[in-house]
Amino acid sequence: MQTNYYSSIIQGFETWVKESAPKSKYVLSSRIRLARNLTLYPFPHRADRKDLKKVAELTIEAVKRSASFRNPAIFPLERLAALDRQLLREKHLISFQQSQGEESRWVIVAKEDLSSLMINEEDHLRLQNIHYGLQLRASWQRVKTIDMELQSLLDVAYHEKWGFLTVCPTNTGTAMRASIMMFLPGLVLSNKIKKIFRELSNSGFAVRGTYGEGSDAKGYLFQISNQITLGRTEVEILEILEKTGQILITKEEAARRRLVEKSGTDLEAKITKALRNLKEGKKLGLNDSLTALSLVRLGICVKMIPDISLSTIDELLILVQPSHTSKYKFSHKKPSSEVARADLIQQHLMACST
Amino acid sequence: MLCENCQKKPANLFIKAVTEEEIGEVKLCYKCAKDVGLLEGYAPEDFPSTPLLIIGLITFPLEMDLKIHRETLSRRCPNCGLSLDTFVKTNKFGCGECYLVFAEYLDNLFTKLHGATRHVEGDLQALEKEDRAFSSRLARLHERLREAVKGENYEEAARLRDKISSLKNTRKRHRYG
Repeated sequence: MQTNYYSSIIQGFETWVKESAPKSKYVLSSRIRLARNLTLYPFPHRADRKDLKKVAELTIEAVKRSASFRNPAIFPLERLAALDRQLLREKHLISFQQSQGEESRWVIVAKEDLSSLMINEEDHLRLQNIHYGLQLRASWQRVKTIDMELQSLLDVAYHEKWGFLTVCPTNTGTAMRASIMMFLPGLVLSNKIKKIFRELSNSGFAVRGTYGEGSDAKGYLFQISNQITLGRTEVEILEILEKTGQILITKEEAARRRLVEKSGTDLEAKITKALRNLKEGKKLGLNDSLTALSLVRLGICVKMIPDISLSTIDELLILVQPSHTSKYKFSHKKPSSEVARADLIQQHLMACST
Repeated sequence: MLCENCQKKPANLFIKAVTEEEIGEVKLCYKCAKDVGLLEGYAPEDFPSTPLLIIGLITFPLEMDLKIHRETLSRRCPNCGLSLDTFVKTNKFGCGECYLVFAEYLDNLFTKLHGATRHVEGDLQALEKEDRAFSSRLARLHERLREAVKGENYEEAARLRDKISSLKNTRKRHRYG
């Protein structure tokens, strides 16, 4: 009964993908995460059951009293089915660590915009917001509002010299990690990506391939985030990240133009084939789907595919993930995940076509 | 910079030495530090290749018989019980109080990680500081209220309750008004 209750709430969540967003041809999402701890309570890795429980109680109480966290869905992760925890993970609402569902681990999700607050992750509190496209400022405004209110309701560990006190010294200070997920097929296909990423890591950014580091199409997505959290204000960090994003956009734009000029026909053939696979395949594996979706996404960006919107593809990038597909398999009584995934993709493409 | 002991190899360990009276620094090469038993209990991979401060752990002034100052290594945070030794090995604080207990070692650590030793307040903190003062005042009042109720001191309790609600009201006006 309980499990069904939580499942149905998760089922009702939309994704952070919207119809359109600034720079979505190059940036899938912008995410900001703040870490906070309560004074005097030992951090989760050194806390006993009683302390963990108390931290969760205090936080949930504060959220219930807050005006900025309207409409919260409150999940005790230990009581969720494994599949539901994985769904939350694939929606980027909880981390891998949190998806293990240990005792006194919670996540609170604001239903209206999917801001989420993890309780007893690495730090006592991890607040995050994701926006579609390049919208760091919008994410910042949102987490700032929630954080300011939570701080007035909770006793947050802060020191004049070190700022916000966190478990890992790599987070101390602003305790803010801001990231943008970039779509960079032009730079990958023209072999420029490695050099650019080397430069980025030397200037204080971490770069991770979202689905691995390979040069195949599913590796067109990269997450770029700040590593420095101490000695700069939040806004300074965000400005540097945004500027970096803009520079990469310009480079990617040029690379795509050259790509179309130089090998447009080959590219178009590859993209058309990928789209046909998605539309007609009877069985689709995760990797094949991600590769095809990335190619189609590129096709939309360079105007080779006119009748599909970016947001349709970006939603699919979430929906084809294993747990989302499993859920679909059960609810639509499909014989296997591959069959379910193919059907899910085709239904979605049809529903979104104009 | 040469090792202060052998004067031959480059010094790659900066060791902070602590006694009851003074704190000093000594620069040693890895071999000398190891020879005098200073690195006992540590593996080479505990030390990055860059010069760094390991926490200081020896008696001072430095003679040839360096000994790990066990007392310093086993210094513990009174709030959560984390020892300096464990902190150095795991690089994780145990609670907010640990920062204060291990304060003298943090400048080096943060310089290495962030190139800075101090937090710079942004607009979030400026507002937040005022909120903090508010919430701690409120917490104190709640605490006294609980005590008053427990001690069946109802007159005092009523007075505190009024104070709490008036504090909250001023706050609301201030913020949204």
